[in-house]
Amino acid sequence: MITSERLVEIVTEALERTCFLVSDPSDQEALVDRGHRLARSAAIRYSGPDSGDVHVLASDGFLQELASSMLGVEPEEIDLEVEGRDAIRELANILGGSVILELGGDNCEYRLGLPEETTPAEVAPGTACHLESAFGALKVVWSPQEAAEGKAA
Amino acid sequence: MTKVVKLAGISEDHIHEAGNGQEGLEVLETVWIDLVLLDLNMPVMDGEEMARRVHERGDLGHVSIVVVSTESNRERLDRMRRYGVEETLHKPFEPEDLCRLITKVLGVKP
Repeated sequence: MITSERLVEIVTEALERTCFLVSDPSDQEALVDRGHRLARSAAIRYSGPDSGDVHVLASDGFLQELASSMLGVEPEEIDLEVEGRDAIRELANILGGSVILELGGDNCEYRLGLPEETTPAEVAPGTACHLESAFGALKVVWSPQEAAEGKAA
Repeated sequence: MTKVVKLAGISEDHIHEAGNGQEGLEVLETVWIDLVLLDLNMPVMDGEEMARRVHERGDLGHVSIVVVSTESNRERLDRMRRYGVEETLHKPFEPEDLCRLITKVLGVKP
């Protein structure tokens, strides 16, 4: 079980270690109030003792900064349709790996699929966290299979 | 990955990228490579298949392979060691982690 607070820790650590991005916890209401539009999304599925998805949704500003940090180039050099899409998929990959490590520990029996682009509408219910940086906003949702099935029932 | 590799002290001229295992094998055919930083979950050909093929090639015995991946599955990582993978580095990681690993695997500082 991963709480929202733990998910925040996992995500902020990944952002800081991977691309030196500093972000702060926020909430859905604050993101909406400040006009952030989480238009881009990607997800990765995991399987093993149980299964689920990790969804990443980002605003264009956040994604631009993420991609520029990952590639070591200026934000203006980022084409969101190319590097931005690669970046959000890679972030889903990284966060998927962090989540299965959290779930499985050192003897992890989980496996990850390939990250894929999705639409915000495809996000299954689960544990969510919201973060803001100077450049935009991010939402990450961990959707274990039973949580998604519970909603469908 | 590119940025972290550069921050670890590797010159951009010495970095060759491949988008999947098949492209990686093609790079190995044409360029002398000392060290492969290998992701596992890739389209077309995954890292496990690439490592297996490199391991089977006697002419690529000089290539050191380090898995850099979000993979945590112990069984899979053990299998990679049988294919000659020397070390694994779990994402996310910091440039210092990569630096230490390069020094350890190649015996030289970046």
